[in-house]
Order: sequence, then C-alpha cells, then structure tokens
Amino acid sequence: MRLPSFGLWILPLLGILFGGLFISEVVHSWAGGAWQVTDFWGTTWHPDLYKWGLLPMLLGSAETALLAWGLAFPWALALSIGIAVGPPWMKGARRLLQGLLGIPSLLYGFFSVCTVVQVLRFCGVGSGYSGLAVGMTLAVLILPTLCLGFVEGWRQLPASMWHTTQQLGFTPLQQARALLPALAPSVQRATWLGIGRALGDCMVALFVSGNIPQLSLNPAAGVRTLSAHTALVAGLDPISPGFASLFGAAIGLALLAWGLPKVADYGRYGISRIWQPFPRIEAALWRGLFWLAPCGLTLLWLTVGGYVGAQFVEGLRVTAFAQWVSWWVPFCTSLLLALATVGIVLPLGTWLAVRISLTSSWSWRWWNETMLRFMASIPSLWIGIAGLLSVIALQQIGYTSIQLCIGVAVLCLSVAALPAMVYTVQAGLAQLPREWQKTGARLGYSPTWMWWHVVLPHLAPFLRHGALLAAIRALEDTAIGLVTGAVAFASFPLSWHDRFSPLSFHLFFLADQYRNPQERAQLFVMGCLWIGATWILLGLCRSIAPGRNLNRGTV
Amino acid sequence: MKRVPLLQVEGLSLSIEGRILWAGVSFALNQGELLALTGPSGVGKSSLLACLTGLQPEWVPASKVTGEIWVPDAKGRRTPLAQIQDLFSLRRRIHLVSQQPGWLPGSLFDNLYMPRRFHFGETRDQARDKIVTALIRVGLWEAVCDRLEESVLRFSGGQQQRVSIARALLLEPQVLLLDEPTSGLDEESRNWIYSLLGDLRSQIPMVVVSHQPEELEGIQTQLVGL
Repeated sequence: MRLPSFGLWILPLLGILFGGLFISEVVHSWAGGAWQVTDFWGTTWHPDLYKWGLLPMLLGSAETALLAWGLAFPWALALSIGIAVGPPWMKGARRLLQGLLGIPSLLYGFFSVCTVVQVLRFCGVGSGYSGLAVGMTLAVLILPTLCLGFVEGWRQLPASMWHTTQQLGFTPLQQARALLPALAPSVQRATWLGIGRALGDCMVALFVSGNIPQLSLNPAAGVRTLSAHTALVAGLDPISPGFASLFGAAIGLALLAWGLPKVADYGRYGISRIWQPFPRIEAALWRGLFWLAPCGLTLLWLTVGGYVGAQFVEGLRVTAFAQWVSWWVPFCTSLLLALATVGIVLPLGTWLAVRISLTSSWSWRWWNETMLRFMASIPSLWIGIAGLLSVIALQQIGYTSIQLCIGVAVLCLSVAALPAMVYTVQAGLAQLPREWQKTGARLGYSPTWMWWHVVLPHLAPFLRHGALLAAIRALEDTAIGLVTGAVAFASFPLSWHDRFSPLSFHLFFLADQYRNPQERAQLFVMGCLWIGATWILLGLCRSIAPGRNLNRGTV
Repeated sequence: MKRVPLLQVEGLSLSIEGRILWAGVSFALNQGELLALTGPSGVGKSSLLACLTGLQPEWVPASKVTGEIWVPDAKGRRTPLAQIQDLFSLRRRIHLVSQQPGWLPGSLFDNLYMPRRFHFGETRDQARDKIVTALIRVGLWEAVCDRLEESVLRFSGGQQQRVSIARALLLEPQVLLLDEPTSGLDEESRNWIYSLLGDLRSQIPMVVVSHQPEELEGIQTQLVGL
C-alpha cells in the first residue's frame, strides 16, 4: 500500500516543534546571563546559590526506573506465560491486570505512602521514603503495561510454532521457554513503554521518594527523580533560577529515555545466558516463578483492592448525594477526553507505525524511533507546557481567538498517548511476514485488499490494546489538564473551544487535602469512579474490536 | 510366543462436527515394521496420526474420536491411550513428524538441542555429540557442519525434511509417525528419504502416510487404506 511518505516527517516535526519551543525559552533566559549550561551537571542542588546540580536527580531517575523494570519484568513475563499457556483459571489474571491498568498513578502514590513506605520503615529502611519505595511502586504501576504487551505477543505467534512444540511433547512451560525468542519484538516494545512510563511518572515519585536531591547509590536513601523535580519546579516563577533547571532536566530525561532501554535489553540477554549451562536449575526457577506470579498478583489485588475498597466505603458514608450527582459532569468529561484522544491516536498511530515499518531508510527509522522513545518518557507536564507555549505563540502572532480549551488538551493528550499506540502496532507488524506486500502482489491481490483482509485483521488485537493504552493515558493524566485550561466548575464541554472539568483535576485538588480523612475518603470514591470509567472503555473496546486470535483460536 | 504390538488401533472412528471422516480403522504395529497409510486427499490421514498422539482433540476441539488405541506407557506396558496421564512424554515416545516441518525460533542447532534439553535435561555441550550423530544418520552433516548457527529456513525443502527426521531421532522415540515425508521434494530427495526410512525401520517401527504407496514398496510391511 502506498502511504504518503510525509508520514515519516510527523514525529521529527513534533520533535522540532517541542525542541524549538524549549530551546527558545532556554536561549531567552540564557542570553540574560542568569546561568551557564554546565551549571546543570554538578552534584549540588541549591538554585538560590546558582547551583543546579541535576546529576543526583538523573541518577535517581535511572535507579528507580531500572529497579521498577527489574522487579516487574520477571513477574510480568511469568504472568503472561500463565495467561498464554497456563490452566484456564490463569486467564482471569488478564482482567485483573486490566483493572490495575485503570488505577491512576495518584492513587498508587497514596497507596504506597500508606503501605510500602510503612512496611519499609518497619523493616528498618530509614524513614521508608526512598528510591526502593519508588521502584517497588513503579514496578506495580508498569506491570500491566509490560504484561499485557507480552500477552499480545504470545497471542500472535504462528500456529505452526505452537503445534511443533506440542508434537515435540513439551509441557506448557517448556513450550513458552522454547518460543520465548520469538517474543523478542513484543518484549522490546513493552520494555520501552514500561521504562518510559516509569521515567515519566511524576506522582509516585513525588509522594514516596522523599524528594532529596542527593547523590547516593543506596536504594534505601531518599532520592529525587527528574520527573518529580519537573513537577516541583514547574510551579515556580518562570524567571526564577529554579525554573530554568526544567530545561536541563529535559535533556537528562531524553538521554535516559534513549539509553535505559538499551541497558534493559542487555540485562535481559545477560539474565538468559547466566542459566544456560544449568537447564535443570533454570527449569526449577521458571516453575517457581510460574506459580508464584499469579499468587503475587492476587495478593496485590487483595491489598490494593482491600485498601481502596475500605476507603471507598468510608467515602460513600461521608459523601452527600448532591455531591455524587455533581461528579457526573467530570466523569463524562473524562470519558469524552479519552474517546477523543483515541479518535486521533488510533488512525494516526497505525498510519505512523505502518509507514515507519515500510521505510527502507535507516536514518528515517532511527529518527522516528528516537523521537518515539523520547516522547514515551517525557513527563506529560512538559507536553502540557508545550501546548500552553504554542497557544501563547499563536496569540502573539495574531491568532487571538485561540485560547486554552478542551481541543488543546485533546491534542496534547494525543501526543502523550501516541508512542504507546505506535509501539503496539509495530509489535503486531513485526510478526507479519516481511514480504507480505510482495506475496500479495504475486498472488494478484491489490495492496488495499491485502491491507483490509490480511494486515488489519492481524492487527485487530494490537489496535485494541493500543487504543486501550491511549484511552487510559488520557483518563489518567492530571498534568496536561492542569496547564491546558481545566477549571473547577465547568459544565460539560459541547464544543472544542470550551473549558472543561475532568475527574483528574478534581482528584488532584482532593489529593492536596489528603491529611483530612473526609477528603481522603472522597478521593478514593473519585478514584473508583475513575476505575469505573476505565472499565467502561474496556467494555467498549471489546465490543468494537472483539478479541480474535487468528493463529490459535483460543488464548 | 505371541508378539505384543507396540501400537494397536481397534475400531477407531473420527467425526468432526457430526461428519464421519472414517470409521472402523484397525491395525497393529510391531517392532521392525513400517505401515503405509494411504487414501485420497482430505480423508483424514493426518488426523489419524494426530489421534495416535492425543493431539487431535487439542488441535480440533470439535472432533470426536471413538474406538481403542493401545500405546506403550513410560515403563513399556501396553496401555489404552485414554489412560495415559503424561501425554507430553507419550509424544516423545510416539513422535509425529508433520508434512510441513515446523520450526522453533533460533538456529538449526537450537532446533535440534531443544528436545534434548527439555526431555533429557542436557546442556548444549552434552547434547552436541548426539546432534552430530543424528545429522550424520540423516546424511546431512557434511552439508551443515559449518552452518549450525544459521536459521533452518535457509535450507532447502529436502534438507529441512531431513533435519526434522534428525530432530525426531534425537527424541529417541519408540514409534515414528511420518506425515507425507516426501511431499514437495524432487525425485532424488524422495529416494534418499525412502532409503533412510528403510534403514531406520529395523530400529524404530513407523507409520508413514503416503499418496504413492508404490514408492514404499520394498520397505513397507503393511498397507492400510482409508
């Protein structure tokens, strides 16, 4: 299929736009002589004394993201194997994971303060606010992203591979072990997404890291991550020395987004090679993990669900009926935001993924992949700020009618959700035979026919999964709404240039009052509404694109 | 003394969604025998082989198999297939080689090593000698000795078929089930495969599905038509 080649320009253009906006701000403040670029790479953070050492935060981000990936990866892999080849009851884990996916990171932060931090404190890990607490919480946060990505990979392996392993008399676990190398594209894409999510998440780090910018390799010590730092300094005066460090943080996160997945890839290969000379020990480890992983997930659900449930009941008790009714507007607004985001991201992401996979130019592919990785890891607050700066820039050149509104928010949310969509579709495309176009041409089928009857049905589960990730990103995001025009008491938006009032906005302000038990309980009621919205979207996804496995019939 | 057959089928029938494919199939396979299974396309010859390893209900859940299949259990005792608990081990002992060989991800060596690793717990070094021996037995060692780390898909159809037989030999099976092992091959490769089967017959009894049973003349001991 001949797709217009300008598709390849979209991601680099977005990069130029974002980069241009930030660089112009950087140059503007740098020209004033307030700071030097080298000032950012020290180890001391004291902006009032013009010391903006970002290295401790860079290390904090790398440490917590790798810790989260290291904890979540074996768990996610074992769960995905259980879902793919395990007994039928293990397939229920998929629903539990989709449920976890819908919990906003703000609630994870709260939950972690109340449980993980307390347990670590009880175990003698200092005050409990530490890199370890962040890593553990982020591991739970990225677990569904990793595991559901792997599950889609298992679902799409060719039937001949599964049949061969059955003929050879392999047990389900041995089948998974033998076919694991074929899962590499899905593992790689899910790892990029997972690490990106861990790097870019502000809320968990804000709540449990301790926010101490110190250079330490001890995971029990307090840390500050670049994303949490961004959230902390974004509220400062734009001409203050602290605010200027935002741009240094951007460069640091870009470097990490590019480098950490590589480190994770090497780690994965290293782990698989360690056990090669000891097949029996490896088999025993696999078996142990295979049975422990669903137990861990169930325990996690009982703890998280129990805590959230208890708070929810308390919230119901203290919430007046009228307040419930007033929340329906933010609830529907959040759903609208998610659906509009999916409406943009689904066709655009699919098109981009197909276009990138069809290009033979390595330089274009490199540019697009690099941009995707960067976009997957930048905190959404930055995307919101870029939207805000764009509106201001447009107003300055004469388009005064352009204001902050739900349209700007949807565009920013689409940019934030785009990498997940592209990665998911790319994982699906990687499993198609490379010469599908040539084969179709040889058989006399038009590219359009091949696209509709071969490629699209194959991609259907991936599209559904990508749309779900995009919808959840849109539902969950707090920061973009905050800077692109969300207001407390807006009515339901009926046009693109209306102001809006999403659930995340209310949740954020309730979170500010979390020491008050009544406010906290209400926060959890709203959190449950949020999860409800996710499940409604899940149901919609299932009914619009029912899961169809072309290769195995049932997974 | 009466010989106890290694594999015995009595009054076997297969229906899929109520449509009977075949009924009342009976045969017995003894040590040193090669049974040729023949019939028109679509009659269900491959399904019969899948039934013998208990794979048919897994691959086609709508299929219904009636009748008796007797197979050797792990201790070599004659046991009804329905009473076999460990089907995974059975599929090693009675191994099915498909018409189109299926490959695992990885190199030629990986494909041959996996069965040794999972069924016998061997390391790569421990398995190496056995893999070399199997490749020599199927007459492929000279051609692949310096290509062991290449993908199997890079080899020709005839070579792939021989690799799949080598992989089957590495499982040390008691019975081999071969589904049209010469399908799509040239005459030279076909003759080579038939002579290989003739050599193996004395050690491993076989059931071979073939459209041209006359090609098996000289090595077959029984002919069953569906």
